[in-house]
Amino acid sequence: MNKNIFEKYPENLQSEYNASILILKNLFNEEEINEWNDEIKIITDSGVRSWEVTTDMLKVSVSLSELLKGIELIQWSKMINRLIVLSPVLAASYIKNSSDFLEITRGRHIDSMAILAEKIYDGSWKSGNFASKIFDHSPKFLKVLTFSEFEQIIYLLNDITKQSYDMAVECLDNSYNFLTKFNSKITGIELLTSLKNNSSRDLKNILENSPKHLIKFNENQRLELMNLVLSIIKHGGHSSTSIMDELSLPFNTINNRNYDKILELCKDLSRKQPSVISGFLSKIPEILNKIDIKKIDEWYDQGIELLEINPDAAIAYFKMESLTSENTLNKISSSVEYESIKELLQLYCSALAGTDIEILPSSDLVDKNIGWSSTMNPTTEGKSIFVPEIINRFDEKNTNYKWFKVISSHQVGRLEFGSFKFIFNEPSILFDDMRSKLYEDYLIKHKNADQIHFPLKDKEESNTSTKTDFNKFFDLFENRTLITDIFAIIEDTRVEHCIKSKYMGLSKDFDRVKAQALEKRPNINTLNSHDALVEFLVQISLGKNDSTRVPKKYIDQFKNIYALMKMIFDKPDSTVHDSAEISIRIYKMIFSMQNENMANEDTEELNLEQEQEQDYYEDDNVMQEILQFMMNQDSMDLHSDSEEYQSPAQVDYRGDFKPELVQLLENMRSMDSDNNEFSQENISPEMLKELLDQMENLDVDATERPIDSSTDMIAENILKEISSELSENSNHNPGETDNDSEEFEELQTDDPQSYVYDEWDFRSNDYKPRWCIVKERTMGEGDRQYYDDTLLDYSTLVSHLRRQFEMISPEMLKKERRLEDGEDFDIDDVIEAFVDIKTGVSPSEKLYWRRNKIQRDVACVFLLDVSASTAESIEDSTSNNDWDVPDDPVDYMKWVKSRRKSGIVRTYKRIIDVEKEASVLIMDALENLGDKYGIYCFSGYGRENVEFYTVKDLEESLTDNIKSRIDKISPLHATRMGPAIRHAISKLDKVQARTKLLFLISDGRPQDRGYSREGVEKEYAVHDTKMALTEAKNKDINAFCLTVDKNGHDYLKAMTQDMGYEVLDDVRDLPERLLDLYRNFTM
Amino acid sequence: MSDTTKSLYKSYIIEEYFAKEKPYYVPVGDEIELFEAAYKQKIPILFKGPTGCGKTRFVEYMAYKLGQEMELTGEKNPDESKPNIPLVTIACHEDLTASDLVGRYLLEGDSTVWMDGPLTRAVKAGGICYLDEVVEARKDTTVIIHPLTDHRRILPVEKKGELIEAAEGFLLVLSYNPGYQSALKDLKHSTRQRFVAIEFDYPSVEKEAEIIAHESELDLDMAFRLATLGEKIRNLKDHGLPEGASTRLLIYAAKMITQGVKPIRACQISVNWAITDDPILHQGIQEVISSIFAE
Repeated sequence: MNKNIFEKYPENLQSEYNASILILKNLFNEEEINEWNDEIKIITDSGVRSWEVTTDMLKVSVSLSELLKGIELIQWSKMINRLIVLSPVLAASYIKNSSDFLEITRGRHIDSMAILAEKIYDGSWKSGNFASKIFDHSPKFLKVLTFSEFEQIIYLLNDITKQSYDMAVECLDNSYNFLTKFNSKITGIELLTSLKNNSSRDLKNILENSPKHLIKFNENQRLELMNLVLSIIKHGGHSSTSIMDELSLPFNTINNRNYDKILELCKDLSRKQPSVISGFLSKIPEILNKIDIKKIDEWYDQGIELLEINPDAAIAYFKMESLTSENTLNKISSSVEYESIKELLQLYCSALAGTDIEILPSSDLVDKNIGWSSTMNPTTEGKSIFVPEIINRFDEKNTNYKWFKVISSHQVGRLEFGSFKFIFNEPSILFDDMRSKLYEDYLIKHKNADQIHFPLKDKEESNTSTKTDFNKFFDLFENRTLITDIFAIIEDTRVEHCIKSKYMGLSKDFDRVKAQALEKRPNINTLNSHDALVEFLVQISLGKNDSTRVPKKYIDQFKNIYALMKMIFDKPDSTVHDSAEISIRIYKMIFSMQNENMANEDTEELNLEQEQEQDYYEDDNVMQEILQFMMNQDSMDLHSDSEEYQSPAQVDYRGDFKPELVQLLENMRSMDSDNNEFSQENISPEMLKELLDQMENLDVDATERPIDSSTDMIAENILKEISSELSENSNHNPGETDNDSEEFEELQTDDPQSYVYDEWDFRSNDYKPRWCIVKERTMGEGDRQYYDDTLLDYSTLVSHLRRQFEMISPEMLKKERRLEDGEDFDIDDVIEAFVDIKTGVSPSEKLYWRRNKIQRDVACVFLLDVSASTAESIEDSTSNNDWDVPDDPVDYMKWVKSRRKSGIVRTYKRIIDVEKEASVLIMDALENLGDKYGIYCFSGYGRENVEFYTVKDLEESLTDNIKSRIDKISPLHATRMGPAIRHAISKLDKVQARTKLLFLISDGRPQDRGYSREGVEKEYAVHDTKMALTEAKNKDINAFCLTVDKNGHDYLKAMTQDMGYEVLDDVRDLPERLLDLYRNFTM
Repeated sequence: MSDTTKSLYKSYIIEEYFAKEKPYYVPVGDEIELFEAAYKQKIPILFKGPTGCGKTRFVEYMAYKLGQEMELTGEKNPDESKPNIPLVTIACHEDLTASDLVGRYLLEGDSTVWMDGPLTRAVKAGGICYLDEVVEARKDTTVIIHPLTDHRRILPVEKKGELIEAAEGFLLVLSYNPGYQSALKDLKHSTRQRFVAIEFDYPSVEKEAEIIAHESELDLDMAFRLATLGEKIRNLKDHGLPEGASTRLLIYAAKMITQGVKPIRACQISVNWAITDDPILHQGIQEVISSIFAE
């Protein structure tokens, strides 16, 4: 081979060749070298820049020399030759990836790979790109697939290129990740094939999204999931672009142990009703929150049963959009939710505590960040009781409920039995009090210390005003954690014993809960001595009374502790002060010894039953000893090599006990209510912070902030909380007790009030829970003149109506004659009777009269439809027809707007004008009568926006402001009658009256965007309205529909059934007819 | 009246009905002394207090007690069958008219005869006239008691054109339950200001337990639990309960228990259902009951 082959090409080509041939010549015989050289020459000469390809090729050939024989190398070069003719890029890509894929195939498929690309390539740039991608991806694919499988995939994707090369390339990129999620590649390819066949458009999305989702599943589950995807796609009618997300995301919140079960259900469902699968899956986390996976079948089967009877209902059922569904779930569910028993518990706790107790979820308290952090623990902050949001510890609903009762009883017990009513100087019942002596000692000691450092400042004095009694007490102890733990255990024990003796019925539940808690306690002997004694305390408090093994060394301490604890067991009327005194003594016992590891100590049997007889004994010596100990507790070098004390594991049902904090809050509350204004002088954030810093077991919010600033935060939050409580009290509005205290700042009086109502779905024969939002607003004020003008316009009618209404206005006292008994004789009747006697006729005995009081007791709501169609002129109201309401919201708004615009230039009278005039006349007439009445308008667009305007509220008295509101009534949007009626019902339900009336005045059938099921069925709206009217009837409200729609008979008949309705021939009769009807109804 | 009817029932002339034995009453505060003082000074008395807390029992007790004392001082002749001073109780209702109180003419044969009303009888007999739940009566009715309640102590009988001067021992006692305080059911101020008011409330748990135990012969521990229940239920007064459980109801429950009804059930039927129809409230109270009493 001579040098001049490459002479017109750059030099490095020649040098590359020289380098490679040195190695390659060992592989080739003479003939082959020539062939090789020829091929290279052809390649190099095939295009302007082909020499670059040759350079690459020569480089790669060196590494290929280890894999291939000479003959194969030549075959390879021939392939390159074939490719470079098609596209140099393709050839370059082939060369680049050759060594990788050939290593995997061990030299096979040199040609088939190239031919594959050749087949794909159709001369376009895009196909070239795709084909070279094939080479790029081939190594990794071939690692897991056979070549024929790879080919299969390529041909599969090649089909997609007909739609888009880009898509095909992306699919190629993603399909590897997809395939690797399946052990059996054949299944993977099959899936891929069927996905492609069913929805090649979505293939890309699915391939792109699936790897990240599939990762959480195991092989089988992946397959199931993909089959689900397939069946949903096959079923069609589903926007499948996000289908992978829809199906897989719910699984993120499901325990993976349950995947199989859920997938099984979905599989089953996919055979029956694939369209609901994604809806169903999205609700699974919610469902599993309420019921155990074992019980899901029960709920599911109900749905399947329903599917056979009524598919529409079943769809709603599986999507949890029906009440039946929720109810079934609740029935099956063994868990008890805070929401469902809140009211009941609130009553129960308020009864027990004797004050208004609010029951709130623990998370509320945590959100306030005022020192509590556990969302699962029950606790109290002195005013409310906080409980976990859901209890599902047990399989039985009742047991779960009992647990709720026990935890709330325990918390109420703290309030009822005065856990927080600790007053430092109050004497205890059982003991000679040591607290005050200890405090004197403490003062002396600290005064001395202070005087050394700050001789002039008496620190104690400055602090006493904000210090709580608990602070003062706990300050006496060196190890604050230890004393607060001991005190909490003792106090909880005391409370429980008080509960037990006062509430016999609870003691069984308490005993069970205690026994369960006891089972979970650790073994005493594995703990350090301090921890062990405290743990022992916990266990006794949980009712341990059999024999137990304890370290021999400390058996006396154990016995003494038991004897002390026993004192509360025997004395049901002990107080928190006894707990405090016991705590001092136990603290001394524990703290006076080393906290050492006792794992290797000898143990001895301690039989608690025998110890029953042993009483705690205390004389002056013992007391002196304790006082002495307390005086010197810090100076002792006893604890120099001690282990740190560890608090015992919490007893879950008792929850958090933070006496210092509660007392602090209570002090602040009372301080503030005295001043009636929150003043920072009383307690500054700094002082508060200082107090908080001292407190043990303060849960700071688990953020990364340094501890110091956390207490700052808490201090700030506490101040905020107290001042908001206070302002809540002073602004207390009896009507609006449902305002949450935290949202207090955001809620303004002019904020729209929203209410949520169910809606009746006649297809599934069930309510859709919380479906519509009714936004109640007060109608704005317009010109008052309108009211007066209307009265003037109708002056003849007005005076006529007034006369009529005066006639029905009852005389308060009416003389009733001819009674058997009464106030007095009626002289006429007596004379008649005497005449009868004289003439020998038997006289009537009804000789008396009495005054009877007749009271009118009527409450009436007028509900005016102010939908857009009321802008129609009354002249052509016959042609009034809004069947052409566009369903699309955008179109709809346009349609509404265009309708409204046409109303601006009117000179004719509209339906709404008649409605307005009627309102004026109603007001005028009913005001004379003295009946309670309300006038409301409703309209809306969509179920989230049912507008409900108050013109005059039932309880409002007629003022000028109200009169001027009438002017503002104007046509708005659509007519969603159901929720408006329901809201009116709820208003009527709140007032007391013997007769309740509801007048519905409309101009057409109910309709709204989405006020029909899946599109166009008009009956949906009619049925919902009918149901709402039935609800009214069930509440003893007489409903009456009045319409000006001449075509009203057909649907009104269905809508109102046996209730009354009337179609007005002439709209102008509306005011008069309305009042006529009213008169007839209430007479 | 024929002898046969007489043997079937006992009927008394209204002012001659007397207690057979001393009524049982446990004082809650100083009401006995106050009543005695007012009686001696002839000042009419108004009882305020919730239903079933012992207002009626108290007036019976005082009638007996005063009677006994007067026998001792010789103001009244000792009489075994008439141990107390006359007590006329009138339950007021919406339709109670003035003539219902004072009296009316009745037809008898060809003529009319005058029939004294209960108030007139009490005035004549010099007893205590107790108008129970006086707010229920119509305002125009209550006005006729006015002349009786001031220094005049007379009862005008319009129809006969008479004035009856009240006998020495006469005293008017009204009871009224502020629980129903609404604009409609309130005493006129001109009426109210003629009385001294003694306020009643439910007794303390201990006292109530004692009362329950005495009235029902239930053991004291159980009575104590019932009294506790009463206390707890009264705590719910602002939670939709119009009236707390009265002592009377608790006694009913106690009596049911002595007859062998299970305590929880007894409380449910005699207390819980009696005070509320609201299902949530009922359930809440039932929880309290089941906490207090073991099954």
